[in-house]
Amino acid sequence: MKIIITGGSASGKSANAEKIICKYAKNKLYLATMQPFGQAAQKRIERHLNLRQGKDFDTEECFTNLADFRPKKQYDGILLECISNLLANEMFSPDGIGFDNAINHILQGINNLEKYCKVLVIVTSEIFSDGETYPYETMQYCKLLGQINQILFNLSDMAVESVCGILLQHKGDNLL
Amino acid sequence: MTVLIIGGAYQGKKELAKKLFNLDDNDFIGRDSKAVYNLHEYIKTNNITDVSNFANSLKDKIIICNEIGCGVIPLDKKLDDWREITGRVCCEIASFADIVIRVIAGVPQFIKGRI
Repeated sequence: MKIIITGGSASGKSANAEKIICKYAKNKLYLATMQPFGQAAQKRIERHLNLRQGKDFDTEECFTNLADFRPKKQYDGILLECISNLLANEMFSPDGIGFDNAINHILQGINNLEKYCKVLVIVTSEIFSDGETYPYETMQYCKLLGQINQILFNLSDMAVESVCGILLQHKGDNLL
Repeated sequence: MTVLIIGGAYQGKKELAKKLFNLDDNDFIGRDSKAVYNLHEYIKTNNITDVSNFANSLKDKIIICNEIGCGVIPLDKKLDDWREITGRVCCEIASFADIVIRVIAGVPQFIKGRI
């Protein structure tokens, strides 16, 4: 089963994603994708670490090439956080696959992860509503994230949006 | 009763609040006002150090705030922090609010509670 959760900045996505996976999985892996560069990233990582405390997650990191990622064991649930970081890494980091193949590469990665768990919870982001125009690279990033979100919503059994910490159901039965 | 009304800019949030809760413009004025308008603007110009305390200080009010978190993360740290704190404050208020309404083009969607 695949569940996707989206939302804007500070909308409670992570807390809700954890709630969902804790409900469906006992034995679970938190798969982090944020590269720990800079103060802001450090602060976000710390906040997420605190949030997960006491919830009994294994934690691993994967910044690029999700298709080659091999978890140490089989899990009930894997929480992948998040597509927006993974896409940025694939597009902009030296280890990334680049703009042209980023979407397919990440989708192969999702297929790969599904082999290692019964429930996969995927976190992504809403970044599409500020009406701003950015440099070419940023606009491409927004476009690809929009495309991959559409594909993932389509492939998911349940899709939800976190708004002020409240989950709005966009697809599938209410599993909470 | 605590009510949180969110939505994009220019969606008729204030007019809707007036209609649903029998408010007039005076209700939005002053420290002990019944209602708070443009909470995101207040957060932008005031240093909020304790999200939970700040959210609690708005208990029993009708609070209107723009949704500002659904864009590209700003490079400017100040703007990034502003979006982050606004989001956290709204999550906190929503957790104890009796009613949360998301407004799109003047149409209310009750995402928590009912009138």
